[in-house]
Amino acid sequence: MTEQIRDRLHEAVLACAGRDAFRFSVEDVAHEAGLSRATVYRYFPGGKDQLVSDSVAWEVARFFTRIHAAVMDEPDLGAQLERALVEGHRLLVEHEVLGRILREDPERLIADLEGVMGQVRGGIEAYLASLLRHEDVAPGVDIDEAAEYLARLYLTYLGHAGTCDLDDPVQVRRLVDTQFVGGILVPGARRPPGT
Amino acid sequence: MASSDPRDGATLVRTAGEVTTTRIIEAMARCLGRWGIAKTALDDVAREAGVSRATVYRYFPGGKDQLVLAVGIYEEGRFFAQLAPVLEQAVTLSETLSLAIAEASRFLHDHEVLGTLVELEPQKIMPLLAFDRIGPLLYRTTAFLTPYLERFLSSADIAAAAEWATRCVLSLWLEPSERLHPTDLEGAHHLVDRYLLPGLAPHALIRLTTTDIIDQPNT
Repeated sequence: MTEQIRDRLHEAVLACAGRDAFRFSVEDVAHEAGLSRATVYRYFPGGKDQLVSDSVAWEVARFFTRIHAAVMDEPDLGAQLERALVEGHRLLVEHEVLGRILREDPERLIADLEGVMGQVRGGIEAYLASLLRHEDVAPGVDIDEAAEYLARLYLTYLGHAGTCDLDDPVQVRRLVDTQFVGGILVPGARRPPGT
Repeated sequence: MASSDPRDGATLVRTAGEVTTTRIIEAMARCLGRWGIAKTALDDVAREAGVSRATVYRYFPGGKDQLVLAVGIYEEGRFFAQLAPVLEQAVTLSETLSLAIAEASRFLHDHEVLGTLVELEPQKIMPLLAFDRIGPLLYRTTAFLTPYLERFLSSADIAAAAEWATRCVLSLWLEPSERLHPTDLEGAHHLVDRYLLPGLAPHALIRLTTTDIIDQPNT
């Protein structure tokens, strides 16, 4: 029951932020959620600041849960990384609230993101390490270090794809083969493209 | 660059403008080193530069935010100037990339202003590098590294390598790692030789025992 109310409040924060970036009030959130101001403060005694920080963390978790759901069906590490790059990029580009806030008040958002990204990276690292243990890794590869490397590189690509066109599956495949797994998997570990 | 005729009025005006711009940027860097971003006011910068507040605004109409970015770009230029002779000495692709990464990481880490800012006010630095803002930096790094990588890589792979190096340096600067240490050459080599070259340029990992340059363009 309490989880549902929290979720409802987070959804309300997103809706308000989509309209007003960070200019909304606690009253706006309460109204959007169909709850009383008192209820909002009961769940978020820190008021607006806590509402915002917690909502950012909540939405980031939802974001990566969506990516995870998309990649789970892919057969191996390389394919999962490719899918994660494409999905992650698509979800970011289509995220209206994020776009709105980046245009109007990026500093506040990035401060909140920074607080949460360490945990996010840790989660991605753990996931990648578990995948690596089932792969044919090259001799001398330290799995935890490789997982950290992959997580970091993935996150920078989420932020900005650089010269790689993530809409082109050939480029995405080449990106993953050359910069992500090239030194980590034994040569020939991945099925050739198109098989 | 400036014309060779010192009496050329346009050159004098432009050169004077450059001098003032540099003076203001250097003053801003000193203020940032003393007080950080939040506590530095443009009045402080004007006083430090020995110019009027109006002059600061004329040169930097975007105010403090524009000046912070200008300091970053100025320091980046200084860094590239100091990196160039180091890379001239590099013989292999591995050495070139590893030196670039180690020098950049050390520069950022040891930098009086940038090194302090990233520790005390990371939330002010990150927006300058977040999401699309990093694009121009990736581009400038590729432009700088191109002459040093041309003999080893195709232009597509040059961009890939330069961007990869920039991403690694920044990621590890903003959030240092317990495992990956790019500030020393050995750590930088580990990154380059383990994680980039096997996929991007496997032929470049052939160990050299002479000073011959590997001259095979990537196909």
